[in-house]
Amino acid sequence: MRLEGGFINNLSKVYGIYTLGFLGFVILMAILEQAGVSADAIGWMFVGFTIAIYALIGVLSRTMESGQYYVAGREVPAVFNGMATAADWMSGASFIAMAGGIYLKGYPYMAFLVGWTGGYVLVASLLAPYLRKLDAIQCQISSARVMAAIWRACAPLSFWLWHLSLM
Amino acid sequence: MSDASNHWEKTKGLLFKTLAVWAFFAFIIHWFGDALNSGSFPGGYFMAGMGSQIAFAILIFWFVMKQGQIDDEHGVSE
Repeated sequence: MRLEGGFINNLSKVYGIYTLGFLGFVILMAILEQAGVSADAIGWMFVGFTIAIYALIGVLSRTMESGQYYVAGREVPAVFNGMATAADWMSGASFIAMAGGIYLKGYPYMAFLVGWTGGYVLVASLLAPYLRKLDAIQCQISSARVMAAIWRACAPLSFWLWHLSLM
Repeated sequence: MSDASNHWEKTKGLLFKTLAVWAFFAFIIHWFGDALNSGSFPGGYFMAGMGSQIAFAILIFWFVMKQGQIDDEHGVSE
């Protein structure tokens, strides 16, 4: 398949195809399950497909430039970046931790929901302006690492503050 | 006042406004969770499970829009 005008101009199309492909895959798995394929086989297909699609994306967008590697050449529009970040909201670890926490302690663990989501507001308002002020393409790698580290620290911190405020 | 420091003043003002809204939906409204739950609608539960998240999402979009306007005004938009 050829896309006119490069990758970035076709982001919506690419995302749409990816989403349709994912939905198609889930439907295919449902059909296979109905047809009597074992749960183990379907589990392996899910894992295999996920690894394969990520490997394919990695190969298609391979690069030797650090700017391309860390920030995709700063070309991806903010809303698409935001969608990727929003998808991170519910990582495997947070899914398990939240399900377990709510199961164990009940409603008070809904603090996780508020803390995590509120953490994004803190990242946007407290960190992003300073990173932009520093800007400087030279420190984009270190700032991306700092951003990732602080981002991880922010969520539990806001959860902890929330928890304290309720005690 | 130089243009750069003026830009930074406005950015700072936006930060405090954002944090005020954030604090309201992150803390203040949940301090009254029991009172909100006591009516016919479980308002405290709703706010923790959904309401605050929606407010945060709207807040981020609003913050980005405002920051974009400030940047445009001072000719430093990306």
